[in-house]
Amino acid sequence: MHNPVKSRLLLSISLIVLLIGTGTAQKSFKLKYKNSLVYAGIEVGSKGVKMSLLEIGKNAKKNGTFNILKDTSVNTDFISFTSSSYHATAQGVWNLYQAAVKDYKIPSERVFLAVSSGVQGQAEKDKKQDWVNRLLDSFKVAINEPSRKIAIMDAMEEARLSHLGIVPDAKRHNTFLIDIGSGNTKGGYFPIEGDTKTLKLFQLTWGTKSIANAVEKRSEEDKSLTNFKKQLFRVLEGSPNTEITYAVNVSGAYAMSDNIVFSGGIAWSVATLMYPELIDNGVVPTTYEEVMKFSEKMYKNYSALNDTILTRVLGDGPSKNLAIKEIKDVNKTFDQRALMAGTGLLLKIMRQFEGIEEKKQFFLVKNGQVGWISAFVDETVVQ
Amino acid sequence: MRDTRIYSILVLVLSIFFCLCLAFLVWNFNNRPVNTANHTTVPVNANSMTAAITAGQTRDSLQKIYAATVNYLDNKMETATDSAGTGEMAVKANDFDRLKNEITTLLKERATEADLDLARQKIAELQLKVAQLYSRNKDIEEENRRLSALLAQLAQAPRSAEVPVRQETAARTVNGKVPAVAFAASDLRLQAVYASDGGDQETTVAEDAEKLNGYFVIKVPGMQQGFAVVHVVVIQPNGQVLKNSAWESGAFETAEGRKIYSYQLRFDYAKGETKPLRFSLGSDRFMQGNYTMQLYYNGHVIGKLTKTLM
Repeated sequence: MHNPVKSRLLLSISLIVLLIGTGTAQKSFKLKYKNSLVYAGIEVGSKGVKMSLLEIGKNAKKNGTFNILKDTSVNTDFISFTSSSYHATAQGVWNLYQAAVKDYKIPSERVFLAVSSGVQGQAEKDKKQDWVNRLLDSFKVAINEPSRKIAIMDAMEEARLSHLGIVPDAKRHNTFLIDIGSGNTKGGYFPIEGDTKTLKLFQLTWGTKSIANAVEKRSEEDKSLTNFKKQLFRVLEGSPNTEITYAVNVSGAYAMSDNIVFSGGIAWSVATLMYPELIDNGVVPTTYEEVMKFSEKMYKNYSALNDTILTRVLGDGPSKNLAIKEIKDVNKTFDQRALMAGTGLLLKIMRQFEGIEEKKQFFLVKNGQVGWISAFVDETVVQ
Repeated sequence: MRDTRIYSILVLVLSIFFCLCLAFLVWNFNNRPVNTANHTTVPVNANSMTAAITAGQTRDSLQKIYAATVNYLDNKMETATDSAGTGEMAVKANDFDRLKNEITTLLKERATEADLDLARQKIAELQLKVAQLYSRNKDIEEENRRLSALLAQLAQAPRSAEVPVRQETAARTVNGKVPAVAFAASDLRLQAVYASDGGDQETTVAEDAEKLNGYFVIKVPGMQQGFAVVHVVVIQPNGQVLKNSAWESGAFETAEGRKIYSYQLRFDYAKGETKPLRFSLGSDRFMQGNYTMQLYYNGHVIGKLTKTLM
């Protein structure tokens, strides 16, 4: 009746088939461009270590198109500069490097490591630069490449590379890039035609999380959504408004830019929820009115912003599946209040560029997080 | 018997006391002080004064009435001069001064009964004139109010006429939109081309095509200058929208719902201008079949063309 040998054999065959299948799936990429190569960029960031596998074609700089093949991260909280966070970060860098080289078969010379400006800034502030140096030295020893160059970014360089990585060449000198982060906002534009070394830097001390925190603090006992909206308006009208107005005026970006491009978590969220039919596009054009309308919907009818409702009109296929996944990810990353806070800040900045006579074109970039790494990779490859 | 007599005496005493009180009240009423400072109504007619009181009391009463009337007159004259100007008021002031002098003479210390009667008539005349002045002043004030309201209405009239124009301008500039019928597209062209040494060469063979070049002309009717966006939708033979790059395509609202566009053209326009517009869409591989180009303005189709590649 029951043959244990036969059962074990079947189980073993199933496992082998499954492992082969999984392995093949992990190691093969569906490439998008002709004459392209796959690169890995490993970023040691404030929150953790992130690896982006990018397909960069020969026309990437011209078209601003690079294909993100994989984007993975490990949370290590390096900037707390504790022994455990150090070891977790070192282990994370090593594991991701190994994955790139061994699992994805990317040659070591096409794997790039860089330290973000957030880490460098905090290390300087806490006088922990030796921790960063020790991490990088140990990595060089581990991969047996003692002369390997590892870039340490500053805010200006990161913003410059983000512009180069995200914005296509054709829009290089008339586009203002603004990256709305969780704790701050930074960006800039290239004011001198043909010069991509000199960036006019734009910085705000406000980000989506800091706005949300300020609103929560103001809300006190009344935790209702109505009060959150009321307090959000008050927070935005206060210090952020003054700072945004001043920073935009000082940057001179209004006169110099035709395109205003937003990146960061909130840009990804808004773009994904507003335009599920454009899920395959890494960047979506939008208008102030459309974001305003979306903001109202978010407040009044948040339940409608789920994957089932938003993808109802999309035809079945990979795009719909991707849209469902991305919408779920957005809803996991940001709750209603965080979305309201982020969108409020986004609208506040957009408003500064919403002229009566002159209309700027707004864009929302979804994959901005890999922008600077891709440009870094691209610049390094060219050199 | 004794009780009845005591009761009668008590009634008599109370009656006398009551009569004395009544007499005192009548006297007190006729000699009450007149508050000239806050007196805002026309004083009572002098004819209503009782003739039963003594000549001295009559003179005192008439003097008080006169003083109140003059005080009231002075207030009204001041207001009337402020609101009506000088011309007619100067004549009126002379009449009042004459009457005032006559009354003052009549109410002198040794005035006879006849003088007091005459003074009473003159005061009545003065009061009548004051009442007329008051009434006229009120009419002027009413007229002033009416004219002020009319002026305010006239001042507002041009604003209310401007409102729809401003709203229309605002709608156009804020939303970047004008009514769909405002623009007309003409001379639509869609060419499949490939690059050669001599520039772009037209082809009808899908396999040779490297990009689609589009051209059309927008005729701006007689309207204000402004800014507009025209969306180009190119539908491929497989029914999918042809997209060049994520930076050039996007989604927009139409009368039939949200659509994906292949390209958007943003431009400034001037009154009566003819605007030629061009775009180019590339693809790794063009399919055989019909390519339909649709032009949308403000969510409405303003032009359509089909091109076939073999």
